[in-house]
Amino acid sequence: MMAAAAFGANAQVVLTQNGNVCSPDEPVVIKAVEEAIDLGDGQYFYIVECGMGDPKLLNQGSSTANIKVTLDTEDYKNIQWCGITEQCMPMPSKTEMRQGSIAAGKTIPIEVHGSFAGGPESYATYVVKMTVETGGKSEVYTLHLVYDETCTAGISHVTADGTASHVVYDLSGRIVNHTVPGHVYIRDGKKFLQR
Amino acid sequence: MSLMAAFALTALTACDTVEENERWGEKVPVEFRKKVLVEDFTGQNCPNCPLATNLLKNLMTSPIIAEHVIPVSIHGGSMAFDGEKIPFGLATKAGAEYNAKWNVAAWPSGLVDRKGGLQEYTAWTNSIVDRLALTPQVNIDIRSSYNAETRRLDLNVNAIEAVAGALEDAHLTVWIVESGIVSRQQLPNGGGLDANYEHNHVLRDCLTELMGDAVDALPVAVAEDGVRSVAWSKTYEVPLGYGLAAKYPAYYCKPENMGVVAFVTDKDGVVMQVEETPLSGTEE
Repeated sequence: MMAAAAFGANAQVVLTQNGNVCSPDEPVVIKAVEEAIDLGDGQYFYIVECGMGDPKLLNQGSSTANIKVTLDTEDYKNIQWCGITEQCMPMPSKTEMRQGSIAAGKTIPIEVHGSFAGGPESYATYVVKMTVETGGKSEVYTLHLVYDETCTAGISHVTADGTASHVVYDLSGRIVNHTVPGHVYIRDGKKFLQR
Repeated sequence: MSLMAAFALTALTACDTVEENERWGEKVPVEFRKKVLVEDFTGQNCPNCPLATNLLKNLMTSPIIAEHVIPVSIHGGSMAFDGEKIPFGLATKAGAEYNAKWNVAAWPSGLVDRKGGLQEYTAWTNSIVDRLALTPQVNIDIRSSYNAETRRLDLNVNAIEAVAGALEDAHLTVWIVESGIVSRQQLPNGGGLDANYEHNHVLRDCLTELMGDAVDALPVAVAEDGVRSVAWSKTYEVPLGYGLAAKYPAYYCKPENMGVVAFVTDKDGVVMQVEETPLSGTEE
């Protein structure tokens, strides 16, 4: 079977992120953020959200484009897909395909979300191969779903080698290198409960 | 609105002309009509779920639809926040059990009178119209009395046959629901998080067995005209909050926004009739 031709930047349907056309040669990074919910009693509850900079498929053409999008990932057990069709579901298997259409000039978010709610041990990058087919052509993108603390409160400490990091303190103000589940700490000026 | 829905509204609103000197006469008996239950399986972490809620909200702008369609949002599954673990989570044990019972694997999904299985929300309108056109086989009367000081709710639900034999092998389910809950919700089309989304008709508790109490086990009354009815009653203490919310006043439930939904299912599990009332009942 001959491989379908690739899109190119001038194709009818392209993947965009933050208004920029994505290249299939570069990973498309989708960040997960950790949000602290103040329960009002000094306790914080952390929710991990995904979708920051959620990519969208854009139809640059003048007519409706029918599309077929396939996700392929070993990390499918940590992926929820809410895009292309109007239903959300955890990926039941390594490969999932959805079909839809995009009106001319319109976008449709791909809504591929990673779950990092398992705590720091689940903060590995999930790699998803996304194939977009339309008009007899196809393009393959690589999505990297990553957990990124900088999405929450910004950088508060810079190390000697110039890299940014977040310093964690205990309630006595001492720097902590290893957090213990069930204990309250302070990071970027906010208390958090280590889950 | 679809052509079918518009037709249904016309049919439901058709009436006879009453001469002026015949108005304000004898009190006209209330005509029971078929009401329709829509079970909306949803989740706060499900961006597409507000699409289904909005569809129902738009349908309910019609007074006829609003009076005859009773939606209930059932939070559960992987797109929901578990209220036992998260204080603002709206998923309950009952919601999780219903998700499991119906094998809900994608959200939003829904059941219309539990007829025809799970449907995507785009199919609900036509199903609702079909069910509204039916003649009710059973009617339901809910008597509800709530004491705000003791938080005690006294409930009496009567199911009355409109057609002889309709209650055979039937089941009665009674739920507690709450509206006006302001909490998180992911929005569709890349809309992100709405921290102050209003959730309505949220299932809070099930007061019967999950698939209803068997009507055959309830006290039966037979009227002079042979009409059978069954009576179900329960005293229920409304908690401060459901799940972990009971520990956080900011997430307490509000009894003034809560109500009772009761429905009868036939031997095939299809909803024959549904009724709802506020916790404090309705004035007569």
